[in-house]
Amino acid sequence: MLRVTGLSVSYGSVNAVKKVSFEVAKGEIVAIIGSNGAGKTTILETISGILKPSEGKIEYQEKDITGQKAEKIVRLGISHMPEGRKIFPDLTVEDNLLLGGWVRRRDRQIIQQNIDIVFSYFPRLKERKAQLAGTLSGGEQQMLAISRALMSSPNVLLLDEPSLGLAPIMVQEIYRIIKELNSQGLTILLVEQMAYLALKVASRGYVLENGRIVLNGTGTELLQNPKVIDAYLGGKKKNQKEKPKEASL
Amino acid sequence: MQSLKRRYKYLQMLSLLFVSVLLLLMPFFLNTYYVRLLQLIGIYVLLATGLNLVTGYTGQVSLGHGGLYGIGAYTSALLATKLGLSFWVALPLSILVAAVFGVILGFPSLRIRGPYLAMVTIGFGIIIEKIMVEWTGLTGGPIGIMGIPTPQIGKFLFTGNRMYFLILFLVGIGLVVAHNLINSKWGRAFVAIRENEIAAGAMGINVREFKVIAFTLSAAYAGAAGSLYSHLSGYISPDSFTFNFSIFSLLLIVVGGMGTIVGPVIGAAVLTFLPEVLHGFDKYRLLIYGVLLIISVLAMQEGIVGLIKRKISSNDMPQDSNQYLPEKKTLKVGFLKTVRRNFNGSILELVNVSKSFGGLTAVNRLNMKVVEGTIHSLIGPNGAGKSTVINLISGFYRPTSGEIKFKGRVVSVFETHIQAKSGIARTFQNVQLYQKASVLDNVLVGMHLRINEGFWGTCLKLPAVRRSENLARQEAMALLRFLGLERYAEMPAEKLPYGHQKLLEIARALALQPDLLLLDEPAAGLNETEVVELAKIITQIKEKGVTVLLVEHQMNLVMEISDYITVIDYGKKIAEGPPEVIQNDQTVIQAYLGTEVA
Repeated sequence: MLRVTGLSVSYGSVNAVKKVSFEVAKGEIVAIIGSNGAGKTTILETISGILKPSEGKIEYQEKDITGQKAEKIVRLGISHMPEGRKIFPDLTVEDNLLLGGWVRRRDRQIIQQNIDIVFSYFPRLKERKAQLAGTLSGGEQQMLAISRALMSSPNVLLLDEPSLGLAPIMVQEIYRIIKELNSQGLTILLVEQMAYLALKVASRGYVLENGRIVLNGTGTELLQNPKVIDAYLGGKKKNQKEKPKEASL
Repeated sequence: MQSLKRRYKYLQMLSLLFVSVLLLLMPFFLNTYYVRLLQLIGIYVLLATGLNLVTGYTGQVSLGHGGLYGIGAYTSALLATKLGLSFWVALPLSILVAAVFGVILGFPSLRIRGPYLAMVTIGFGIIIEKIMVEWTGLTGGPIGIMGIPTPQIGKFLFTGNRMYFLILFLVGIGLVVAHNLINSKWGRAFVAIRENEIAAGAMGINVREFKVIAFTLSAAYAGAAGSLYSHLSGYISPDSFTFNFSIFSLLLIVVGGMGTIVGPVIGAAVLTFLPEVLHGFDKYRLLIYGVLLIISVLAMQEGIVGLIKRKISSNDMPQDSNQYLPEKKTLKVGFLKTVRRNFNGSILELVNVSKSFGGLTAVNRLNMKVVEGTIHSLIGPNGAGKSTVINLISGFYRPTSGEIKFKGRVVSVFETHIQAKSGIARTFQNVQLYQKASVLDNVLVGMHLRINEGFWGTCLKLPAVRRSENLARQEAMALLRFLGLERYAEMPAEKLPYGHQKLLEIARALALQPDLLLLDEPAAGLNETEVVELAKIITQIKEKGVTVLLVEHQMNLVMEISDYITVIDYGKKIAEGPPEVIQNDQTVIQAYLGTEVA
């Protein structure tokens, strides 16, 4: 579905991503994990056309989309939920959603259908649909950001830290929704700081360090890899007895 | 990097020396016409440097500087012609009068911003122009004022090259003072206001005061420029101080480069010489300016200076991004003073506090006590009102009812800079950094209240100011080291990855040396290993005697380090107690923790 080959991206002369290659097959959830500054967000922003790569190739459904404009890429069916919400604070919740569905704006039926779907996932947003998005609480803004990304009926969803700022119970809910979306055929590329959670839902994962992929494997493999445990899971062994409830979150 | 910086500095000194020598020798090789142009450039440099302080650094666009310049010019002209005062008296008085008008022009900026402020300043400029034209008795109306004397000392007349050197000298002083102010807590406060007013207030900067200061300073420069212009020309009329001239002033800094010291200099030089080069096209002067404005806004948003900077830095920046990796395990702290404080137990107390927005009650009769020297966590579902509580404590909101006691005293004034001053520091859920300012400067802004740099001392850069600045820098670096951000020090804050921006907010908040630190979701954007580091950091902060109120969703962090937890939902307290109790509280599990077990 999505194939990235030899991708490098630089800010000025700093190479944030160096010759990264990976693949996301149709119907998969793929997670990219790594510490702050590893280049995770940069990769997503390059796929969605916000940044231009200095070298490498991005293919989507066997077609080269490298360097295409962001609006074109959304139209092709890749939707991006950016890190840190980036909602339109001075527009209402509903308008935020409608803008998310901009590329489908001519098809009112689909838009209405999508709105119904996201409201069924996040009833809280329905209650607040006439409210200005900037007045929502942080977690509600996060729900809105995810919902907005779903409004364009994407084939591939790029999620940058969907759990950011969400209460534990909400994180569980979001991940339940992610799995559900996935089971309905949506392909998902996930970037997440909470590595444990991401690897648990992901079919496969890649570990990024200083802009390079240093490990890859299935979610379970990576979860058991001592290097991953050390670097990203707080050195904690999973299945640890103490505080099972919180350790998982 | 170090050697690179030194080389850059060396290069700077060398070019400064070269330009100075050139400026000193130039008049001897040029005819009077070109000397006159240089004199004009000097005056524009002063004017633009002032405008740059308020627009480039503080971010308040003024389109009324033609008016302020005119006030300086007319004050000087009137004092000299009507009262017979000499230039040496008229100049400081013009500066003073213009500065007073600067205060007046500054007031609207307290209520309005952006395009609206620009409109008000346009109005100001036009009113001044109208007064010059209409108040014939005082200003001579459209004809203006003639016979303004050339500055002199005894029989020594400042004509030709002498006037040139006088202007050069004053411009030199103006630039040095501007440079000194910008590289001090004053300049950092200006930039903080430009980059993020909310966060500027939270660091203890009185935003209103500093906006007015910026306008006043700016007007003082305009006044000096106007006075010099009067005495240079010997004749002034309203034609020189029109709205077009205000636009021209703005153009000087836009083309040269806003928010830099050399920007206005380059802008003034280029825009004064350009029409001379294109002599035949005099009719099209305004057209050329217009095109230039469009080009500089579209193609070089940081002006000519920005263009040059980009050239230099793209060649010189180190190639490897590894150098921006944070150092791990750098948790030595020597800067936070362990202070014994005693507020009889609870440093903070909320009594029946409510806050509603329109119909929505975000916080509902909340009672909460935070014991001094503890880590107290506030948790609850999304939208429960946690951030609202933080905003109430830090003075962003005034409670609808109830009272907040801090250090045993009831809080009556809700103003962020006052809360900061009383010892409350905070971080923000949605990062609120000064994006374009360096990481180091972000922390230095946090030290605003503690840096002792008086205004006049800073203008002159007295040794005491120099020392305090050095000390502040060292302390800021120590704070960055504490959070593992030392290597980023010179980078603009916006270039940091999200998680590190959140850590930088902690460094900046600690720079206030607060008694109470409010952390709003500090772990968002950190991976689990980084969260473990953060836990150590917060614990060390507590050990140094700072009370911490933590809002956070990462339960492993909250449960590990908290001494006490308050849980709220729909603005109401639903549980409180030590972590063990909260973990097993059925209400909390249902509303917040969820039941899924790993």
